[in-house]
Amino acid sequence: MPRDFFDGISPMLVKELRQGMRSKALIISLFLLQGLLIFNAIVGLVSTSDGDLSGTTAGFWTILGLPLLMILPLSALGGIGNEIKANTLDLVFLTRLTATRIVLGKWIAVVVQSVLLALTVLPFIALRYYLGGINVTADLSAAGLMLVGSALLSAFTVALSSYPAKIVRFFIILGFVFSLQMIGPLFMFGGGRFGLIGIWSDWSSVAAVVVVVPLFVLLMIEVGAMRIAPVAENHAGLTRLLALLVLLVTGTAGLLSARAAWMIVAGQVFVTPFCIAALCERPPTVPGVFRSLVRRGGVGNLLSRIFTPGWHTGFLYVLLVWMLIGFFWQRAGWLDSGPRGDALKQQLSLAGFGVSLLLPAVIAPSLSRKRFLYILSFVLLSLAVFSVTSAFVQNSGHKEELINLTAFLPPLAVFGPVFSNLHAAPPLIFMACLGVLVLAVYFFKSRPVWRQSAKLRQLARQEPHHVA
Amino acid sequence: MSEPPPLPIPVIAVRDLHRSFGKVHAVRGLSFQIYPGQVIGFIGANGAGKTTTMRIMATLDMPDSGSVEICGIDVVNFPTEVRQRIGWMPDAYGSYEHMTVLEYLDFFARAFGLKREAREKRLREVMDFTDLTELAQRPANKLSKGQNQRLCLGRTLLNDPQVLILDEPAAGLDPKARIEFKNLVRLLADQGKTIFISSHILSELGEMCDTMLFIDAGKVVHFGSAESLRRHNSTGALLDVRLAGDPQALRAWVELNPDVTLVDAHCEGGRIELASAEPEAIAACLRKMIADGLPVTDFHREERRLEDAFVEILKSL
Repeated sequence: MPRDFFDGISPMLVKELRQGMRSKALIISLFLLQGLLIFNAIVGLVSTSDGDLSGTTAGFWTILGLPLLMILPLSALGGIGNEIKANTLDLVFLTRLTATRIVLGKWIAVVVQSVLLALTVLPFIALRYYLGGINVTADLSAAGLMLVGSALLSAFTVALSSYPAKIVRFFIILGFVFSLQMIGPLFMFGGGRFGLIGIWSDWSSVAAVVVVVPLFVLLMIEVGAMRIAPVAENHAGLTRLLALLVLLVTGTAGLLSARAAWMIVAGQVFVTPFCIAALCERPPTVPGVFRSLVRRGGVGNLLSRIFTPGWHTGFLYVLLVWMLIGFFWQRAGWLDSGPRGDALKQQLSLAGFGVSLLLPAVIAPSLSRKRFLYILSFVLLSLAVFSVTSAFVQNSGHKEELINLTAFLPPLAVFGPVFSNLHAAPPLIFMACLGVLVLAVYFFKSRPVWRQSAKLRQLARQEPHHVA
Repeated sequence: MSEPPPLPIPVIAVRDLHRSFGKVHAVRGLSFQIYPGQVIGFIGANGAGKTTTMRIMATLDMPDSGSVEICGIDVVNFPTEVRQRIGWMPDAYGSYEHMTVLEYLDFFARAFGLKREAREKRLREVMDFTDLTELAQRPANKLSKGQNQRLCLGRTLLNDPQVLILDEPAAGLDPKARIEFKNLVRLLADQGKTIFISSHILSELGEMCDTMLFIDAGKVVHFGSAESLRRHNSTGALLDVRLAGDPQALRAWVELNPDVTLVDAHCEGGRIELASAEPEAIAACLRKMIADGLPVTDFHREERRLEDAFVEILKSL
C-alpha cells in the first residue's frame, strides 16, 4: 500500500504531487536549469581571470526565471482544463473534495515543484558567493521574491485553467504582459537593491503587499473553483469577500501613508471586475448555496443577502464596495479639499464609478444575467453618450453644461470629469433622479428573485432525514 | 391485533422529473420507485433520457422540476449527504497520467475520507473483489477496456455505497470481460446493494436484473420484471422449427396458416410465433406441420428475447 504521503496532506495535493513529480514539465525544467546554470558558471569562470561571477548575474536570474516564471506557471494552465476534457472531475466531486480543495491542491503542487527547483539553485548561489563576492542575502531575497512571483503567476494560471481555451489564451497574453511590467523590472533591473523602487521604501505599501499577496492567491483559487463547482457550492461569497478585503487592505494602506495613496485607486481598479462579475451572476436555484450562511443565525442570514450568488445580491455588493471607496476617498480628503473645481471632479468621478457599474446592469435585459448583455449595454450606452457629447462639443460652446448633465453616464462618468474644466455645481436634481430610477428598477426587477431566495433559505435550514 | 408490516421505503424515488436542454426535452415527467436490494435494468434508445436521469440521481445535474430522493434524501437539497450513499460509474471517463492503479484507488480512498488503516483494508478488499491486485503497479491509463471498467467499478465501491448507479458499464467490453463484469454485479447484488444499471445489451440485463425500467423520449414505457417485458403485448408462443430439407418450406407453410407468423428465418428453418400459448395449440401446430408433410427435425418453444420486446415496444409507440 502506498505510504509516501501521510494522512494530513490533502488528497488532491497527494495526487498532484504524484503526477507532477513525474511530469515532463518538472523533469525538463530541472535538467534545463542545472545544465544552463553549470554552463553560466563555466562561462563566468573562463571569461574572468579573478573568478568574479558578478558579470553573469543577469544570465543567472534569467535562467532561474525561465522555469519559475514561465515553464511551471504555464504548465499549470492545463491543470483543470485537462480534468474537464478527460471527464474526471465528476468522479472527484462525488467524493468529499470541494472545488476549492481541488484547485488549491493543484496550485500547491505547482508551488512545491517551484520550491524544489529553487532549492536546486542554492549550490550555485553558494558558488557565486564564494567565488564571485556576490551579496548572498540579496541573492536569497531575490530568489525568494521570484518564488513569490512564481506562486502568484501559478495561482493566476491555475484559475485560468478552468476557463475555455480561447479565453485562457487571451489572459495568458494579458498576464504575461502584466508580469513583465510588474515582476520583470523588479528582478532584471532592481537586483538586490529593492530600495530603488518606491513601493518598497514605504512600510504601509510593503505591509499591504504582504497581506494582499495571500489574498490574491486565495481569490484566484476561488475564481478557478467557482468555474467548476457544483451549483450547490457557494463560491461567489468568498470571492466577493476576498475582493472586498483586498480593497480594504489597499485602502487602509493608502490612508496610513500619503506615499501609498495610489493604493486606494489600485484597490478600486482591482475590485471592479469582481463587481461586474457579481452583477452578471445567475440567482441560485438550490438551497445548498445558502446552507453554510443561514446556519450561522441572524448575522449569517444578513450576510447571505450580499455574499451569495446572483445579480440581486451583486447589486447590494457593488453598493457596499462603492460606499467603502467613498469612505476612503473622503478620509483621504479627495472629496472636500483643494480648489472647488478639483473637489467637484473627484465627487463626479466617484459617483461615476458606481453608476458606470450599476446603470448598464439595470438597463441590460433581465438585469444582465448574461455577461455579454452587460458589456453590450455598457458599450452601447458609452457610444451613445460619446457621440452626443462629441457632436455637442464640436457645434456649441456649452460643453460644460452637457458634461454636467451626462456626468452620470458611462464613459463620461469616469473620464469626463478628469478632462473637463468644471466650474459649476453638477445638477444635483438630475443625479438624484437617476439614482432613484436605478434603485427603483432594481427593486422592481429583483423582487421575485428575492422571494425565490427566501424560499431557498428556508429550505436550507432543514436537516436531512434519511431512511436507509 | 398485530399491526400490518410497514411498507418498504424506496431507496430511489423519482417523482415527475423534468429536464430540458434548450429546446430538447430530455426527461418528461419520469416517476418510479426502487426498493432496497433490487437490481434495475434501465433501458432506452439513444437520447431517451437515461444518462440525464442517472446524472440527476448522482447529484451531477439539476432537474428543472420534480424530485429525486436517494435513501430518503433529496438530491438537490442535500447533495453532499446523497453522495456518501451512492457510487456512480459514468459511461465515459478518463484516467490520470503518471499514476499506478494502486495510486489511483488510493487517491479516491483518501478523497472519500478513509484514514490509513481503514483505507488500506478497503483498498485490499476492493482490489481483491475486482481482481486488480495483480495490476496494482500498472499505469492507470494503460489498461485494457475491461481492466479499466474493473478499475472504475473498484473506485465506485471504495466508499461502500448503498446505491450503485452504473451507466453503460458493459459497453465496449469483450465477451470474457462482460461475463466477469456480470458476475461482479451479481455478487454486489448478493451483498444487498441496490444497483441501477443502464445498458444496450438487453440479454445481459435480463440475466443480471430483477426489474426492467424502459423509457422512451423521457417517459416510462415499461416498469416490471424481465419476464413481464418479454411478455409485453404478447399472448402467443415463440417456436424454433428446424427442417431436414428446404427451409423455404417453412415460409410457404406459414403463409398458408393465418394463426402463425414468421419472426425470422435461418438456414435450417426459422422462428415462428403462434397466436396462442396454450399447450394444446402448440401440440396442434406440430401435428399440423407433420400432417402437411414438413420434415421437422427440431421443434421447441423459445423465450421471447428482450431485444424483440424492446423493438416491438418502440414500434408500438
